[in-house]
Amino acid sequence: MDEKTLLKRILTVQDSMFRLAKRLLTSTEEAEDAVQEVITKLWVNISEMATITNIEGYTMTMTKNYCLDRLKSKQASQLRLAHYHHDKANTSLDKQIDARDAVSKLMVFMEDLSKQQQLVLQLRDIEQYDFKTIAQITKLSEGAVRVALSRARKKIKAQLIKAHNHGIETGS
Amino acid sequence: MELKQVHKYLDLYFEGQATIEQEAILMDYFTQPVIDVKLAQFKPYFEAITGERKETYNGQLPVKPSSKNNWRRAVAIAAVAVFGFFITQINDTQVIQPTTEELVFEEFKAHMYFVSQKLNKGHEGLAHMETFNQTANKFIKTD
Repeated sequence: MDEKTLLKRILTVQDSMFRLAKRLLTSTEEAEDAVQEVITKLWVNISEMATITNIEGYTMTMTKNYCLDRLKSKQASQLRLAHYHHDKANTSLDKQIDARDAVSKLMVFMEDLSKQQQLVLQLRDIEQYDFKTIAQITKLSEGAVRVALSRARKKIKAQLIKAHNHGIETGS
Repeated sequence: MELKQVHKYLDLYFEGQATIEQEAILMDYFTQPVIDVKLAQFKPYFEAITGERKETYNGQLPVKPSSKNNWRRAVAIAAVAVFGFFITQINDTQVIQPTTEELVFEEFKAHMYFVSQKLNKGHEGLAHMETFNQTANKFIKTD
């Protein structure tokens, strides 16, 4: 693979990488670091890239792995905790403002999901990948992806209905 | 958009059975300013998703590292250094426990060096004699 092709591929996938990293790491700075790390790895391994047919899927897999590794390390888990509290404070103050802030509105809905459910939901609803690609990225079977997705969406549905009912106070 | 259809797609969506096209139709529906009251509860979620899709990466973009060779060189140097370190380590451990043969050989070497030194001294002395002969020949003509 030559440099121009790789650069073109990186430019098309970088936003998806960033969004995925941010979803998993819940921090803009951490996510940017993750994207840079992964892209640097791509440049270093440019000679091996020719054998890979689906560069986008491959890159997203690398991003996912990198983020999960980061989460596993002690340092990152402390970071995550710090951001989590920070974000919580924000949402309780004003849920509607600041989709651009450290945490997105979507994170409020996704809070109770497992990392895997978040990952699958992210790849489907935000990045709109087909099940085959999601299976490839997550290293799950297509069936498992569907199950995880359905569970994630049902949790969100329950949350939305609950929030809605609290709003109008049906008295039931 | 038929409301009935939206409900159908929404059910499929929550079951994880909707196609990408059907999901796109749902997104379009829920991002309209006015939607059916019964479906209003789902609006914030779909709005959040469309908002999220617009987020872009604004960080630095690492390009092909010109320092790639430097990087490789650094690794090579590090490898050599580590290798060298281990080699010296191995040598050190061998010196610590020499075999009797080695001891005898070292002793022999020392003796031979001593003999060689003495021989060199004698050779130097002969060199003086040579100079003396040459100078003497200038004055004393044997013919």
